[in-house]
Amino acid sequence: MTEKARKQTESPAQDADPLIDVRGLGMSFPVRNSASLPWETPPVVRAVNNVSMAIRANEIFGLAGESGCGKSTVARLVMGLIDPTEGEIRFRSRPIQDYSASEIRPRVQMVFQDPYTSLNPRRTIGRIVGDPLIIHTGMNASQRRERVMQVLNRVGLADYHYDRYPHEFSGGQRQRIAIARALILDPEFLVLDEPTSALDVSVQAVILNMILELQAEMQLGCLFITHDLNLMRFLAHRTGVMYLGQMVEVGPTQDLFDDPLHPYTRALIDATPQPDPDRVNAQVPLEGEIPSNINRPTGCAFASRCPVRIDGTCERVEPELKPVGSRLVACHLHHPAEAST
Amino acid sequence: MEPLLEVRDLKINFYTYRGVVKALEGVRFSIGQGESVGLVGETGCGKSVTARAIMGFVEPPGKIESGEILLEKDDLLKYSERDMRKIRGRKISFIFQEPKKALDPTATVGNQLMEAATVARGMDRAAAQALALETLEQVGLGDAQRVMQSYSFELSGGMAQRVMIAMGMVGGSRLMIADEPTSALDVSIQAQILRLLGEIRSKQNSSLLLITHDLGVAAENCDRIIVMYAGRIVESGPVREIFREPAHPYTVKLLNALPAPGKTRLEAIPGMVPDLVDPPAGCRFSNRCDRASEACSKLPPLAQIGPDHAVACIHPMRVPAKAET
Repeated sequence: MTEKARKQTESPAQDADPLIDVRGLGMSFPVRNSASLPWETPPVVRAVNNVSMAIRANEIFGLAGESGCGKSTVARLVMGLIDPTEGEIRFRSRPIQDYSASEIRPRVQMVFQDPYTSLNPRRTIGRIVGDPLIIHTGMNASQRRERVMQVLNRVGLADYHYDRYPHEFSGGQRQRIAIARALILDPEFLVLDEPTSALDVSVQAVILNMILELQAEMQLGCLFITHDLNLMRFLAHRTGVMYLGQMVEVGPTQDLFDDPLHPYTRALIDATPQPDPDRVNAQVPLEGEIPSNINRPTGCAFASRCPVRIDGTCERVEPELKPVGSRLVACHLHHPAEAST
Repeated sequence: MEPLLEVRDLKINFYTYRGVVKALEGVRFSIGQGESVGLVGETGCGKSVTARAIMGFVEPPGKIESGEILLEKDDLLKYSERDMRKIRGRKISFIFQEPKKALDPTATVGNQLMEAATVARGMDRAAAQALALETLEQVGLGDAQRVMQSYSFELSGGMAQRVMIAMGMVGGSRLMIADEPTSALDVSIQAQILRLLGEIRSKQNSSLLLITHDLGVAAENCDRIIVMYAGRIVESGPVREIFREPAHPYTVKLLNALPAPGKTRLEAIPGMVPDLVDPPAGCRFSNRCDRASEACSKLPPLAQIGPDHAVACIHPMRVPAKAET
């Protein structure tokens, strides 16, 4: 494949660079509701606020956080589906907006959460999986058919599935189809937005195993988004935790789970139920709920719920994401020097 | 100890255009006073239908073919719809997965709670209001006055679930049935709600039937676990035995399929859940089980393998406790 050749022509120096480099990413959406008047400036939701991260080739980067924390917005930004209001995203050291759609689509692909709505119900599997080949390659019909079959077999589907429609498949099989569609052009980077949250445990296991295999085999860089920390711990090489649009902690998954530095990371880990009846969970669950993204609290976004808040500092000064050992943490507890300023 | 609720040989079919879906076949279990029982299994295993049958929520095309549901020795299946209304909310309360859909969007929280109190306990409005306020505070809604005047759309998911729990408490029920009460909530809110359910249970010595697909939630919140597969109970026992020494191959495989630290691969269960229109004869798991033999084409009875531990399998396994990290 030409894609394989392309990967080899990339110089080693470039390979050391991150595949995706996100710097100071911010995304604000205006919210107009029926109560707002045309001449008023609508309030703004800061869905993503100053997020930086780097994802290397052949790495699964996990993004965790609760609903509304901005993780799916980050996925859409990284895909180039929406343009950021602040900051930039570089793919192979070049801003992602500089790529044309025909340049970027074969290289960056996505698997969506809900396999029941992400496949066109009126098209056959052959069409769904094979369409990218029509758009991005000069293959003729028989070459395309052969390639589609090859990818379908790779994700565990049979040749006779080619002419079937999505409604004939179970949830797990549909997610296989979605993965086949994402992989048909042999991409370098894959965004997976909660790919197994609609599936049962036993089916999830099959899909996760397959994602891991394919990732290693194709040396894919992956952005894996999930709210399930057990899942994150199982498959991500590095993990980022988001809260209210901000990255609060990033680091190697094992370090982050063994010794969470940010109080929010710790609380999330404690709150995640484990299939272990003897686990003593003496931790008091976090109080309160995630504050509104429209009227963001000043200072640390987590301060209102933080059990170890430093009064006088955390509500006033916004902590920056700074290195602590192998990790980056945005918390005054770990940067006391800055807190006093 | 006398069980509070006993379900005996419950059989439910759904008459669909594709044929008869044998949703439940001979389900039997009991819940003791003050006990917390977890009903676990994957989509379509019959756990929600079981809960709905107890509440009398099974509607055509579903039909309860046979069995008994005994609440303090009274068979609820013999009750008329009118009589069932006296049970719901007073003896058994139900907590839905999506509280915001389950609450009445056109009535304030206060009116709904007071209605529950006046209907179930025959209180006058003033007493009902006092009880409603007190209960809202007990479920951790500090600003009870304001919540009383709110509509369900003004509440967050976690708050709405607290209101649902309060509704159950106002009626004074001894048994709470919670159908995936936290699946729609974030983990930090889930932890709050589960903790609240546990507190209420120990304070009032009430019982809980917790239906969940999340084995972690079941492990941390239940005394006893019932594992269902394709409309049948495959294993039931004390929570520690189910998680440490599972005996049914399906339970073992389900636990092995969970992502956990230290695993490099997850054990997948080959094949798919059988179509309940035409399930395999005998053990319904036999077509996916690597221990299956000829003998599995006969229905395995739910046999005792320990005090309070039963398994429906001809080739049960006792896997030694797995090392936990």
